[in-house]
Amino acid sequence: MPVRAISRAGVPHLQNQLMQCSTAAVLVVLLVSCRSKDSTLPVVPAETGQVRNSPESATLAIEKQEHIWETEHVAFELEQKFGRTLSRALRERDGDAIQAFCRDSFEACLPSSETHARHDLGHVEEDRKDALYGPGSVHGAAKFANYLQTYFKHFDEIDKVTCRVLDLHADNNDTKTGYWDVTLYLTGVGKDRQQGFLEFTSEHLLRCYFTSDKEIEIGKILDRWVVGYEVRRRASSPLFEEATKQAGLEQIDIPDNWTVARDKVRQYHTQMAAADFDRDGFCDLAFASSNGRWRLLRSIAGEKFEEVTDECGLPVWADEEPRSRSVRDQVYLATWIDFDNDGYPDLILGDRLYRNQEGRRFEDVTDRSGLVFGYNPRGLVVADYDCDGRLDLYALYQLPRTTNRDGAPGWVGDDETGLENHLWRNMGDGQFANTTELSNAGGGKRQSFAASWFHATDDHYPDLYIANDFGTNVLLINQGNGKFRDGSREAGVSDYATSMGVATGDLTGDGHSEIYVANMFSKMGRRIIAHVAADDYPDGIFQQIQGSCAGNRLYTADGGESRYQEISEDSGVNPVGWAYAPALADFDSDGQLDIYATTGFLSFERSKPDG
Amino acid sequence: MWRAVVSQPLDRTSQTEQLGEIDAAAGEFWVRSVFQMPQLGHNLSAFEANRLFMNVDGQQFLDASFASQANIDSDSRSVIVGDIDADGDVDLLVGSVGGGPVRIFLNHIPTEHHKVRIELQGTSSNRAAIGARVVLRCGAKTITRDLFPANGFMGQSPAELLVGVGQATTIDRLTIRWPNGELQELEDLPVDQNTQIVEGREGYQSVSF
Repeated sequence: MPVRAISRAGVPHLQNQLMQCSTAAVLVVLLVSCRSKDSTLPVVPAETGQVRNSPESATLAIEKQEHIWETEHVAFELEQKFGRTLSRALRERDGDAIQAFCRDSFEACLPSSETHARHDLGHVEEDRKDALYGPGSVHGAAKFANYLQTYFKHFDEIDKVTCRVLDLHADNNDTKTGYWDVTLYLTGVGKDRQQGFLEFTSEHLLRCYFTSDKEIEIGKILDRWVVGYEVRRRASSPLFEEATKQAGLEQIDIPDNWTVARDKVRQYHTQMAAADFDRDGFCDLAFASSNGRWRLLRSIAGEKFEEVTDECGLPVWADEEPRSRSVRDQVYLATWIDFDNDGYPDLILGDRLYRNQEGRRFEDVTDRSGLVFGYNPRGLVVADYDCDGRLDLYALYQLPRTTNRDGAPGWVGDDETGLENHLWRNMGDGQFANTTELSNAGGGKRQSFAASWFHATDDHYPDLYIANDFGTNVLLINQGNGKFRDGSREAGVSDYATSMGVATGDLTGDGHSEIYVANMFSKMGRRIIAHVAADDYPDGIFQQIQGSCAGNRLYTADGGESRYQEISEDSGVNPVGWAYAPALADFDSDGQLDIYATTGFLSFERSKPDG
Repeated sequence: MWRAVVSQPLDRTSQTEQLGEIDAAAGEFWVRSVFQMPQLGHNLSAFEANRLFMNVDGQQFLDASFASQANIDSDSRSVIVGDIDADGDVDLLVGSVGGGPVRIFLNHIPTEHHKVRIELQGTSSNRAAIGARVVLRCGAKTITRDLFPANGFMGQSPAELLVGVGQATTIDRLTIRWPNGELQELEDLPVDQNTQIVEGREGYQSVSF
C-alpha cells in the first residue's frame, strides 16, 4: 500500500498532537490543506461521456502550465539528487551524511509514541505504525540523524532503498520564496538475519529550502522533517518460485521488446490461453502473436511444455504469402471454447476456429462457423449468455490507430470514436450468429481492452463488465430475454479512466462479486494534478483526469445492492501502475480471493528517469 | 506525459512546448508529442513491478509483492491463474513484452490450508458449466465462487474451480447453481480432492490431489 497517504490516516493524529508542538503545526495545517483534494474520491458527473467541449476550451491556463513545469522540475531534481544521496546514506547507515542534509534551523518531529496495527497471514505479516507526537517530539539534527541511521537496523542485507516525491508544493504556491513542502515516500527492501524477506515503507513530511538546482545537489536543504506512518512487512520464505526454465519456456519464440530493434517495440503483441485440451489432467497453452506465429504447447505432467502445433494439425505458417501474413498480424486471438459440448475444449487461434478432435487433432471449421473477426480484436470472453446450453463469444474492439477520426481524440471523455464490440451467439451445429444489434450488446463506440462475464444480479444469466481506454466503462445487465441493458450509471461503475483490464469475483466474502478494474496509477500524475482543480476546466474534465491516474479501482456491491461503492484506496489495492491484467485467485487457500496485477508500459533503460 | 494530459485533456495529438528549464545532464527530457516517447526510447511508466495483494479480511489487502518473487518489472501484460503443476494450488503464468515473454511462477506459499477442486459437468447446461455458481458452507464460513474462464487482458485462464477452505476439513454443504438456473445440493464432502459432479446426477466422485 505505498500511497496510503498520511492525509487519511496519520494527519488527524498529527494535527491533534501537534497543537502542543508549535514548531511543526503550521507545516501540518498546510499539508492537510494541500492534500485534502486527494482524499475525496472522484465523483463521476451525471453526464459522463456527454461532455462536449472543444480541446481549446479545456486547455489549462498558461500560468498554471508554467507553474506545473517549474514544480515538476524541482520534483525531478529532488528525486534524482537529494533522493539518491539520501537513499545511499540510509543504505550505508551514514549518520554524518544524514546530518549534512540539515540546515542550521533544522527541526525534526519524531514520534513520541505510536499506534500499531498488525496483520498476520502466517506466510506474510505486516505491522503498521502511525506516529503520535507530544511535547518532547521536537529534536535537532543529531538526534534525527541517529533516528534515520538506525532506520534499517532490522536488515541484514539491504537490496534497495528508494525515495520518491509524492507531493510537492511551493510555500504559498510561490516558487520564489525558496520554501517547499514535500511528501516523501521511502522504501527499503532486503533480508533479515534469518534470511526472511523484509520491506519497509513510510511517508514523511519535509520542509525544504533551496534557491537553485545546485543547492539541491549540495543537499543542505532540510528545514523540517516530520515522520509519518511506517509499514514493515516480513515473510520467512518466497511465496512463489519461478519455473520458467524448467518448464521449457525460456526459449519460446515470442518477440521480446528488450531484445529487438527499437522500431520493432510493440505495446502488446501476444494473446495466450490455458486449458487441458487433451484431458490428461494438466493445463496446456495456446499462443498467437502479432508476428504471425501461432503455437500450441502440451503440458508434460505439469512439469514442462512441448510444442505440438504441427503435430495437432494447426498451421505453423512457414513461407507464407505476405498478404495472408498481414491478416494474421492483425488478428491474434487465443481462446478456448468447447462450442460443441463434447468435453474437449475447442480453440480459436489467430482468426480461425478449430474443432478439437478428442485431444489429438484440430480441424479448421471457421468457414462453416460464420465467425468473422475485424481488425485486431483485443480479446474474446466466453459464456453462455442466453443459457441455452451452448457457449457464446464476445469480441472486444478498438479503432485502428491509422483511422482518421472526426475531431481530436481526447485523453479523457473519448466515448464515441471507437468501435462496437461483437456478441456471437452459438446457434448449435457449429454455427455462430452475430447478435450484437439484436441483443443491444455493442457497449457503445468505445476503445475496449477487456471484459469479464460475471453475476451482477441474482439471476443465473451472466452479466458483462467492459473495460475501455480513454472513455467510460460499461456494465451490461443481462435481462434474460436475449437482450442487455446498460446498467453502468445506476450501478455507479462507469469508471472514468483509462482502463486496460478487469477481473470479477467475491473478494469481500459476502456472496456478491466485486469488480476490479485495471487503470493507471502514477505518482507523477497524482503529484501534477494536485496543482489543478475542477474549476480549471469545463465541467467533468478534472474528474476524468483524476480518474486516469488514481490507479486500479475496486467496486463492491455491499449485500448485493444494485449500486456499487468504490473502495480502492481504503482497501489498498489501487497503487499498481500502468496496469494491464488483474487476476483474482485464492493463492493461500484461506477461502478468500487474492489479487495479482500486472503493470508497466514501456521500459528502455534502467538507469534513466521516467517520463 | 502527465503534463500533456493535464495541459490538454481533450487533445491526445497536441504538441506541448517546453515551458521551463530542463536538466538534460541529469537525464530530464521533454518531447513535444507523448507518442514520440517510445520511438525515442524514453521510459514511460517503466520497470514497474507486478503486485500481489493478499486478502486479509475481505476489506483490507496486504501488499505481499516484495516476497512473491513474481514482482517482476518486465512490462507485463497478461496473466493466467491456474494449477499448472496440478498440486492443488493456484500458480501464475505471466505474459510480458520485455524481459522474457512467458514466465511461470509456481505457488510455494507455506500453508496448512485445505482446498477442493470442483469439476462440474453440465448436461442440460453447457458441458463446461461456465456460468455456474457454487456456494460452500464449511462451519461458519460461506464461500461463493462463479465459474468463468477469466480473461483480464489478452490471457484466458482455465475454467476451473479451485476453492480454498482454510482450516475446514469437511465441506458441510455444497450448493451448485447450474448455468440454466437449476440448483443441486451435496453434503459432507471431503477436502484436498478433485471432486467431479454431473448436473442432475446424485452424488459425486472424488480422487485425492
